[in-house]
Amino acid sequence: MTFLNKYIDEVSESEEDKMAYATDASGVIGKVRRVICPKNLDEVRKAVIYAKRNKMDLVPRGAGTGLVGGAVPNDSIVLDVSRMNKILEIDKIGKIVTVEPGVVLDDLNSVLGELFFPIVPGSHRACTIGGMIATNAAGMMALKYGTTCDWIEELEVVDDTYRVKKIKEIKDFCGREGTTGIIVKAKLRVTIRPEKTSLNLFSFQSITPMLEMVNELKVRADVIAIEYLDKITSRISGLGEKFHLIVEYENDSGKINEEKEKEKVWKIREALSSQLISRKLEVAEDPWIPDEGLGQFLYWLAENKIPAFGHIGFGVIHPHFRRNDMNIEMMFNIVKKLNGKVSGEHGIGVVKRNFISDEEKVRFMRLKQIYDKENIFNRGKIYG
Amino acid sequence: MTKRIYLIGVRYMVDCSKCGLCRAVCPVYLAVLKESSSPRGKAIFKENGKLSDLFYMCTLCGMCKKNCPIEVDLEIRKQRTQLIEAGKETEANKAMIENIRKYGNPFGKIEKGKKLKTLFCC
Ligand SMILES: Cc1cc2nc3c(=O)[nH]c(=O)nc-3n(C[C@H](O)[C@H](O)[C@H](O)COP(=O)(O)OP(=O)(O)OC[C@H]3O[C@@H](n4cnc5c(N)ncnc54)[C@H](O)[C@@H]3O)c2cc1C
Repeated sequence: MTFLNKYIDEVSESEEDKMAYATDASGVIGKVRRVICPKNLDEVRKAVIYAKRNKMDLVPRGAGTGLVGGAVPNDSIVLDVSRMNKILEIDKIGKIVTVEPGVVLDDLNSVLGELFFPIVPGSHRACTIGGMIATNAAGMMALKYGTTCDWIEELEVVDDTYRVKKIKEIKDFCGREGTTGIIVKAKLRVTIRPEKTSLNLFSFQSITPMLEMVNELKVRADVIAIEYLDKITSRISGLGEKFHLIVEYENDSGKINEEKEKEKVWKIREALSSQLISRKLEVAEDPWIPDEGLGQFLYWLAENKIPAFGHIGFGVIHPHFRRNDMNIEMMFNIVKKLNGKVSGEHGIGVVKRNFISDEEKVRFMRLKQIYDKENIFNRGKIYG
Repeated sequence: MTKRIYLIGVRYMVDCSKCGLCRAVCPVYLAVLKESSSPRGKAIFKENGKLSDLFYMCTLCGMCKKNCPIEVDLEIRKQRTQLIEAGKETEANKAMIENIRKYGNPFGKIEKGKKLKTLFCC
């Protein structure tokens, strides 16, 4: 303990910290050994040295909004990077920003003026850039802008050598959920924020015409988001028992143009996950389904009265279940049959460890051999 | 490579969904930047019956409830009452109450001719 106290300002073993850091938004509970809140790179390196010397597991953590238990400790040291939250450089001409990992997405976007980082998960108010990179987060506008990995120019990381390394192989860290090391700096590409956006809210009695509309909208260049609400989530939101689509355009072709009105619609959409969780539907899934299978999948959910919403334009749906619901396993089988993926955006964490492919396992082991031979980073997450 | 998983289990929803969105608006969290000072941290203490001094680290501004997707109320005043009933009071709080009882203000004895600081809010 003395080594840590000597080199790092904020090291805690208090009962309160152990409780607060034992969980994240996933509902998985773990066990904290110690909490470290580094304020700079040097403190991160010292934490890695300590973890390696003592063969302890080090769990990187951003805002803890992850939904698969990726930041949940396993009798581990939690490394909360929230205090490393400086925006280091904004190059408006080259459209590049350099940030520390604890920068909150909305904080970054609030200072970029006519530019913005266009990956916007439902947790945009709180989630950190480090957490977004580590989970390769997607979100509402993935239809047009893709996922976090697509917007990274360069990463700086600390791996098991304690050294700071510049990484060009982005995918060795992006989407690896902190299992290959700690992301300490990121150079991100940003783009021009649409000058004006507008929304439409469409309602449908059945799934088939709704999907026809999705297919029409998806090929339009001015559509940036298509969000789906099934009958159950529509009713909960006060929209009436129909299927709904929220469509966002990067011009004024939608009927909802007023800022306040748009905000109201997005607020309804962003509250859905918590609304369902508060109704004891605590398991939030995120399968990705290819276009051909989407109809079959949505009909299956509706027939089984499984509430769902999601980024339908990007193929990611969020069905919610009670814990231990037999339908979860059944859903994974259907996803496989439809050639989909069990996780479209939240990651694997601990919750979906049992569902990764053999190919993924081999890749995981190969990356561990390169960056984390002694398995000190986020043990037990994804695989291993 | 270790295969053991020590995770204790899963949490069943009590009140707060633990989404963490409250972190963005809590002035105390934004100053301290630690989970234990966030409204979500306090929700965890409340659910676990943990009477923590950290319930005093709250401005009672209500931003967490206002911005919570399901309007969770942390009932901070109730938590503080329970803390006092359990004899867990901070020294600052004790001094403040004693001063109010003795001198009619939270600051203590005010020397003749000395003015109290004026506090401005919002
Ligand atoms: C209401 C709600 C809506 C959501 N909507 C979406 C959505 O639309 N799209 C989407 O993709 N996700 C969504 N999520 C999931 C989650 O918000 C995202 O995955 C987010 O990117 C996680 O960021 P975080 O800072 O909270 O990371 P955390 O939860 O703290 O961590 C997530 C993972 O990243 C690792 N990590 C964190 N920081 C670092 C670092 N510096 N270096 C290395 N590893 C690190 C952790 O170990 C963990 O494995 C949602 C969650 C909620 C609660």
